[in-house]
Amino acid sequence: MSTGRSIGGEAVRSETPAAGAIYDFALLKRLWQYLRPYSGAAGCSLALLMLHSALGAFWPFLTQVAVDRYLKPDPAGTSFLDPYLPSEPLEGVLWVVGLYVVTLVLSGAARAAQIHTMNFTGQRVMRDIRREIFGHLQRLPVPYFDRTPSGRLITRATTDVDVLNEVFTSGLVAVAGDILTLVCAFAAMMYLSPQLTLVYLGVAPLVLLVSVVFRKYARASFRDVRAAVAKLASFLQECFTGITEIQLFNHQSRAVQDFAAINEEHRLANYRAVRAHALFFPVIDWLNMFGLALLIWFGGNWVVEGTVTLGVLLAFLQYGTKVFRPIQDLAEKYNVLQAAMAGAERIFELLDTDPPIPTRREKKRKLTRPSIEFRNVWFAYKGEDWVLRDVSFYVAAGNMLAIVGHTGAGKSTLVNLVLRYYEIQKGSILVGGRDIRDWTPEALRAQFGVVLQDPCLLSGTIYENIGLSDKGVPRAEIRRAAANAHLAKHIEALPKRYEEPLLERGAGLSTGQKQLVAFARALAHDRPFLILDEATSSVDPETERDIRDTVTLLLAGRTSIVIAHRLSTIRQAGRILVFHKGSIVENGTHETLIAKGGVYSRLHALQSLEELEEAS
Amino acid sequence: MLSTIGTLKPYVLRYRWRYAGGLTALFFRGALATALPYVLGLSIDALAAGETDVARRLAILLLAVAACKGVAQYAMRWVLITISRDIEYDLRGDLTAHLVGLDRRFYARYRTGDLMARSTNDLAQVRSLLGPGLMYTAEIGIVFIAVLSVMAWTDWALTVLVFAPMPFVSLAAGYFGRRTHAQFQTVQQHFSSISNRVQEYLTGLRMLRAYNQAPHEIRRFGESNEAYMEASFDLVRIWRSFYPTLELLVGFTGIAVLGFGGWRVLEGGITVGTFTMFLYFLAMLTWPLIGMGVVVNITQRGVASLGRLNELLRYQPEIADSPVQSEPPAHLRGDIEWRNVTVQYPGAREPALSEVNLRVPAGQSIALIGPVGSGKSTLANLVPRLLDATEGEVLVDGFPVRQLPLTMLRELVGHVPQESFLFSRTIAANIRLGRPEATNRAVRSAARDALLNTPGDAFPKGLETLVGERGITLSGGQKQRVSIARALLKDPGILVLDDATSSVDAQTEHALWLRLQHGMRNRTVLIVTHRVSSARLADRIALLDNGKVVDEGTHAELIERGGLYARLHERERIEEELAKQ
Repeated sequence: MSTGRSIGGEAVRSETPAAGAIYDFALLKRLWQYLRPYSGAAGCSLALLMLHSALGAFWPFLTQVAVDRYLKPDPAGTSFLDPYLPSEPLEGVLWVVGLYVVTLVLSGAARAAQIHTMNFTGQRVMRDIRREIFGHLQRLPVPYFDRTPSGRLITRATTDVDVLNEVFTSGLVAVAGDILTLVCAFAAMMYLSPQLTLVYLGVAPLVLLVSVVFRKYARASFRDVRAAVAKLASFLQECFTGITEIQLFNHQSRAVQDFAAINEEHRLANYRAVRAHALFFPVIDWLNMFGLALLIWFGGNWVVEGTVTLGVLLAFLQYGTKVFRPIQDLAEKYNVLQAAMAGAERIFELLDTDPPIPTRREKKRKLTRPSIEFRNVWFAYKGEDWVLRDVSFYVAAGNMLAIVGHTGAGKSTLVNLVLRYYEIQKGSILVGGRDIRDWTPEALRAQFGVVLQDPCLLSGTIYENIGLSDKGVPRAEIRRAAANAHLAKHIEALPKRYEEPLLERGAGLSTGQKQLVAFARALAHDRPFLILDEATSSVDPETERDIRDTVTLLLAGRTSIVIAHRLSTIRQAGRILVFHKGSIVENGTHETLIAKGGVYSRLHALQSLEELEEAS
Repeated sequence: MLSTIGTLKPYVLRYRWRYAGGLTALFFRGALATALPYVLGLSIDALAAGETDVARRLAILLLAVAACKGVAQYAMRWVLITISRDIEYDLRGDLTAHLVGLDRRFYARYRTGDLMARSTNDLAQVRSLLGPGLMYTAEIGIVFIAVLSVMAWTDWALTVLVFAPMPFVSLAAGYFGRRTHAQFQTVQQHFSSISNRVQEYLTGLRMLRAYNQAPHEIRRFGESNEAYMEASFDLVRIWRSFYPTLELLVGFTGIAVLGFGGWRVLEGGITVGTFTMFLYFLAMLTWPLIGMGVVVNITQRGVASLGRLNELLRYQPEIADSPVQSEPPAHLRGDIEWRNVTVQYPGAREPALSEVNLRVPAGQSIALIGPVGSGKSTLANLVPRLLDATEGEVLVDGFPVRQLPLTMLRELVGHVPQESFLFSRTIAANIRLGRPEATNRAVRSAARDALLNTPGDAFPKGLETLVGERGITLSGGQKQRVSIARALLKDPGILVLDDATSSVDAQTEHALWLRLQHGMRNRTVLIVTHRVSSARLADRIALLDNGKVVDEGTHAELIERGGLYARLHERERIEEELAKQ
């Protein structure tokens, strides 16, 4: 079975982001939009970071003062602090220590405040992005969801956004901090001794080279890791959803085996990332030592000659580490930033997926005549594989249309089209005499009560499952709908009755009960149109009779399309369509079809007999 | 916490030699790193004495030591971090293997999104604990010991000062650690709930769209989103002061070195070179101290996540191979007997089945017919042990099903539910589920028997057509027929058809039955249905009502007796006739 691999292949394609610095810049610019509402907090964070960096650069300078002025007095080792410091060595060292304490406390406070403001910003930005993603999901058309594995969409709203947070916490702000530290240290070094600074800068090109090579390698390996993670998620998602089938078919070991291949891919991708890191850090550390060796080699001479004081050299040795830490950090942060950028890119890709349902024009018109009409409708899910061919029919206001035919004859597709989940290729569909493309999808759907093949229960109480949003339908109305759907007796048997929480997908209820909930839902939402899709199929005759009452209630005064396999459900239809291979083979009112003597007339004969039987 | 970590023991032990190697490298790295400031101190003393040549030679030594340190560092990282990736691989594999063996009760309790979060997110946290967490802990230990010994050897008084803040550091670490742990668990819970919200929305997409639930769904998601943000920020509140506290403590150590060391230099107790070395040690100690914060964070998150994984790993399925197993025969014929079977679902008031007694001899077929909630599906589900009886037992060939190996039992039973799950693979791959090695011919034949891939289906690539996720591109009837083909390919000794043709239209259903009947002679068949037309194909019929078998017999017998069955039959008789034409 080419299981996970095919899923993975799909994942890889859309998980591979385009490269390029310009692109990254564009992404950053876009991220900035999210930061803008919190620019106050973000600015604060940056200012605190500057303070923290500047204070950090001050410390080696204090060492220089202590050494040159008190420990190994050197007349050349002057500083701007001299006028304020006492000349007595012991007292002087205490003064320096005091200064150190002050800067330290300040720096600690700045850091704490900075972490606070930065996360305040980051967390809010994440919340906003998450909200936007979920909101966008609401607008995306149904075909998009049929194409996209849900594991991928879940990742977008969860893990990817979390990674994005790194842009702010470990990424941008930290990078800014590192750069500031570099700048401050560099400024302090230039102030102390330009010639030593020049010597030290001899290492810079090497550091740059190593960082660039590392970045390139780490970036590639990182991408592989992301792709592998997406594959893992897709596989697991399916595995958990289809667990019963896996177990009943003793497919467990096979599934585990398939999973091992993806798991291995993930491991190998990570190996490459580990290698990059394992090589990078020692090399950078060594270059740091190389810089120090250069300072001793050249600076040592100058100290002996007296051009540079020992205190300055000591301060430089300390600055050396101060300069390298940020460089090392920057290269590593770059990775994190890349991860976040990849996440950002995938998120934006999702957000940029435009909901392509265009509404030609929005005229506020009252629905005066709730009718449905198909005019020469052609539809294919893909290319020219027509599922509906030139289908035309008209359902007058308050009438019911029954659709009969083989499975796969295109009946369920009608639901997708009427509710505008999919767009038709040719012809037009009119609801209330108005092309559905002139409605907004929301306004259109608000006219329909719907019972789909899958009763679709959510986690939540019975109340929530029937009423859906808690504002929409009053509780008394829900209870009445449940009673009308003959559901009340089942609900009364539950420990918490209407407050009984249902598990995911209504686990714990029988299929028939789930169907009844869907019926009650349609009843509770009082709409002018009704669509039933094979809803009666899984209900036994006893309950079917219950539902027949409910349906009669629902049909009263409503324009409806009922797709049914069982004859008992279409008996109330004012008009009947017999579908075959996407075309209508028989279409007419009850009377015309009887007169025709085709399939329907035989169905009718049956129905009459049944009615006779019931009457007796 | 120890009992939590216990899970990892076998994994860690598996790599003990590599761990030993990695830790050796780590030891060398620590020792060499400690030597560096020492050499640096010597070179400063040489400079202070005006011996430039000595200083230069020492500079070269410095580079050599640094190179050795680099090699050790590479080995350390490579070995220790790859072990963590290996354990992650093992653990993930084992977790998945464990999860696919868990029963319905488990999957009713844990939502898919939650399980996903645990097997990706939480596992990653545990990986960090085993890799960087362990490495940094050992590194901190080594650096501490090495630096402590060199410092104590040079100037013990100064050393005492440098280490004075340590107890406070560990106190702080402990305090922040505990709070991080608790809060992190809360954060992960909220993460799972966000994941669930999206998952559920995607599952109920069509219905939610039809009822225009966008604002409500957005609001529900918003609540979870807000809660997650609050929890995450509370976590930040805890540790935002942790790093600065550590920095502050390190800073005080620095003050001690600067002040006391300066005084010692003035006194003539130590040289400027030693002073420099101490400053360097201080820098070296800064990282372990800050690192300690990282380690505490990693550890606490890792342990919290491990706790969440343990919850799954320690879950024992109720439906599993029994420790007391009867010696199973080489071949099961498929004789089924329900003996005094009662099933009570947790939380339900009435039992789903009460004291049911029923027997189907091997090679016979039985139909279970009755209204919704009468217990017919429950009765059938007992056979492949999708659930176990609360009281009484189910026997296959005289063996209680609980004592048969689960694999053997499920190999025997072909179960076709009403709503079957299709994987996003090809139709053929879905049919092959139970027989991955089946030939294309066998798959085609099973498909033919299930009346799949007929011209009416219009699959663009025949059986190689890809099924969309959750089988969404197929119609209900097509899904059911794929599911039937899947069961037929197994050539099961017992075939359970649980309302398996409800979405198939009457005509197709009948044709399907005719084909199925052909193969029925050598297998036991259970038909769960509410249609007499389906039921009468079976040799015998059991009529269920309210969790009890109220009548049993052949079609003719039941008709003769009148009652519920006869009524059902009358209603369908004509439909049936029509379908036959």
